[in-house]
Amino acid sequence: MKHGFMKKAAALGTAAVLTAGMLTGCGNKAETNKNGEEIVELTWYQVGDAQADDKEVFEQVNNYLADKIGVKLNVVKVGWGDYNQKMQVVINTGDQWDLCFTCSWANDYLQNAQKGAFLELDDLLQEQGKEMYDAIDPRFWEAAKVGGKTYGVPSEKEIGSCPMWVFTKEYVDKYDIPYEDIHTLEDLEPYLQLIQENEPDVVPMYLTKDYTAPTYMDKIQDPIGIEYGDDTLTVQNVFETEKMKSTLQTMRKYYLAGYINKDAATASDDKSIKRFVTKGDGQPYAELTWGKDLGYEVVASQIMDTQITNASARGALTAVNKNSEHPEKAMELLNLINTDQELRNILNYGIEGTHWDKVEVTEEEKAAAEGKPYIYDYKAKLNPEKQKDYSAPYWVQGGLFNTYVMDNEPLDKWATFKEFNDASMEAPSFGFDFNLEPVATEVAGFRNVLDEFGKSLYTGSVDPEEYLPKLLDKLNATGVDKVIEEMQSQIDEWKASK
Amino acid sequence: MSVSKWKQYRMDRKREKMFRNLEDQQCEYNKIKKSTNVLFNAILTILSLLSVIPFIFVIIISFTDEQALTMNGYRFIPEKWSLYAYQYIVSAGENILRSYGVTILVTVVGTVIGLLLTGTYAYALSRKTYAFRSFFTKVITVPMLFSGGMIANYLVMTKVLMLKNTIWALILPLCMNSFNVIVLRTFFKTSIPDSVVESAKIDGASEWKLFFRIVIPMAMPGLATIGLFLTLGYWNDWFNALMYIDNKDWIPLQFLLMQIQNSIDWLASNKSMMGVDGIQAAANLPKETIKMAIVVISTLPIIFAYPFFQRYFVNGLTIGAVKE
Repeated sequence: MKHGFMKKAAALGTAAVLTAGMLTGCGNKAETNKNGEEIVELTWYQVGDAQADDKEVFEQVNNYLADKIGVKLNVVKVGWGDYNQKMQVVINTGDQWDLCFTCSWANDYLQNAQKGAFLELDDLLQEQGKEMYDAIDPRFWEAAKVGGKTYGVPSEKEIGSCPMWVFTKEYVDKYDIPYEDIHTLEDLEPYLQLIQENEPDVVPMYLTKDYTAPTYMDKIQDPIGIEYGDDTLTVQNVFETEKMKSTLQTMRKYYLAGYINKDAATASDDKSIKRFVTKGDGQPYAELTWGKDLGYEVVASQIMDTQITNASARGALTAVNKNSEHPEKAMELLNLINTDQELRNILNYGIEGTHWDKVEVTEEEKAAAEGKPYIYDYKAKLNPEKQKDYSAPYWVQGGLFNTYVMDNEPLDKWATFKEFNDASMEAPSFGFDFNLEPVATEVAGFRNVLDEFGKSLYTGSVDPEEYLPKLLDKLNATGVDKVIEEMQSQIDEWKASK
Repeated sequence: MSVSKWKQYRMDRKREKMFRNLEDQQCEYNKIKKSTNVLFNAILTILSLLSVIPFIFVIIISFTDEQALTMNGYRFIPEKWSLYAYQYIVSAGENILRSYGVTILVTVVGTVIGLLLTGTYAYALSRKTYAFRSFFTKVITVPMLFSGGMIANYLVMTKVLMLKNTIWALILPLCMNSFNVIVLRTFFKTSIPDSVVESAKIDGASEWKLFFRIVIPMAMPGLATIGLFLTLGYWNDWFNALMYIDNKDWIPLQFLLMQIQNSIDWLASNKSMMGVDGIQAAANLPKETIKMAIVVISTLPIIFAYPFFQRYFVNGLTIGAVKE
């Protein structure tokens, strides 16, 4: 009796497995497009929150892609704060994915490339990706190289980091402040005093906990790196440079004079606080974004020349999974996104006629932009009602320069970006990647020390005479010298091979 | 005569007074001094205000006008009241309402399944007559002390059980908890006397009937406690959604909230790296008032769930007075 039951159960089980197999077999039957090509599905992990109308937009994208290159996208959007953790799991467990967003500040490009999670793209770039390869600024490709191999397709946008002073326009106009001539921290002093004397309820210099004092160095591994313009390539601790020492003194002076808000080391941006100047990290037309965010107009001036570092040029890349089944298709897709205007604009703004409308550019405006690159016949006008249902971070999907500019932006916006990029200077350390493995333990200790002292020193909340030596002592105790030595030897090797 | 009467009277009075004093003294022992009483009341008032005020504040912010909020910061009496946040949730926040539904579904289904599994497992362990008792006790204690870690969990869930992007990925990981099983086993052991089980068996009850008709009603306070643990666990869970759910249609409310908050925090702390891109990204996130409104709607049901469970907690104090 018992045996009979077992037998039956076994038979039933086998039958169930077989049927299941058959069912999935049927489900996998390949779809084909109108050219008879098989459509492959690519899974693409992107950073940024999911949007209400994602489904509709990607339906349209997929229809377009199916006919064009026989690809169907499965885009997985992961929230900003969760992206790092999620990608770690997805990559380490060998989960099914084809493309993912990566950069210097999220889902770390360098580390993933070094440990072999991403596919080497050099050959594919010469085949399926040729068109795109030629279109994008070679310096982006240079930055994308890790150990001489390319592991990601950069999104073309601003290439350098460009710290700026951001002034509230109201006070600049009122006191006629020549903001364009203000560059260094020291330049600010007379105007801070002026504001303090005349505007009692305005904070002359409003800083928050994420503030770092102007740093004239590429911090390859915070706090050590190579100073801008130092062609001898000497690795230094930023807190031991003369520039930083005097900067911290000045910050302290401003703090004691009451120019800086007292809670600077712990504050997070409170927009209700009226301020005269604050620090921002900019790009062309950044004033418009800041102004919109704050609710009043601002003007800005560059603190130093724009510098290109590995971190800044790796601001956004898309990598292909080492184990992807369809690397050629993935490359074809990236190539199309970076060269095809129609596709790029759907991805960027959503469905035309629903989320945005094409607006024709006036003849005058077109004439004024004559001869400049990246000029298109249309601008995009977002539909205020529907826009919130689809707003994606543009640079996650691909380069910006083949998108339409918005109707309130100048037609030559991308040309200006291009000029900005061309004018940016390469930092001496540009192209050098630090392999931190030999000193990983030492580096792990830096974070704690910097968290403990960094914010209060940068904002001038504590006296650098007293606390800077303390910081240096602690860094020495965690082995900063060893890291400097290691980096120096690596950089010498790199220099010799260049 | 009169003298002795008087003496008697005096003695009575004296005794009376003595007793009264004694009584008074006894009362004094049980009473706290008035000043201490005031002090304790003040401390407790402050403590309860400390926990209530933030929530009242959240409610007020959710009814504040967004513009007024950016202009003036948080205020107890805002310059301008507004229902905008709630209108937004009802009209534009389809995903918020959907997530609300997901949370409710997961909580209800999960609590029922969880109680059933935990209850039956714990009951079996509590019966002395069960043969594999010590083996299954070990099975349940080991994961309480050791766990496979995130990666191992993820592999089992996605590759072996194939639960990725299913509602079960939100329900199953939380429904069995070693700690709950052990609490409930102890509860069964102490509150269900063997004699009750025995007498039910003599009366002809099957094991199922015994469990559902005798044991469960007697163990209601214990089950209610575990039920509350499970309900809270499910209601507040966001981690499983982070790991296993990519489809935004199956995101629970807490994860939605967590995601918004995580994004805001992350964008704020990476401001210098992302520059203008970060500000643009932050501008697309829900505003402060909407965030607070989501907190309000996600907290209210759980507040109402407490008194319901409380009834059983009070019962729990009186039960267990079994005479052997």
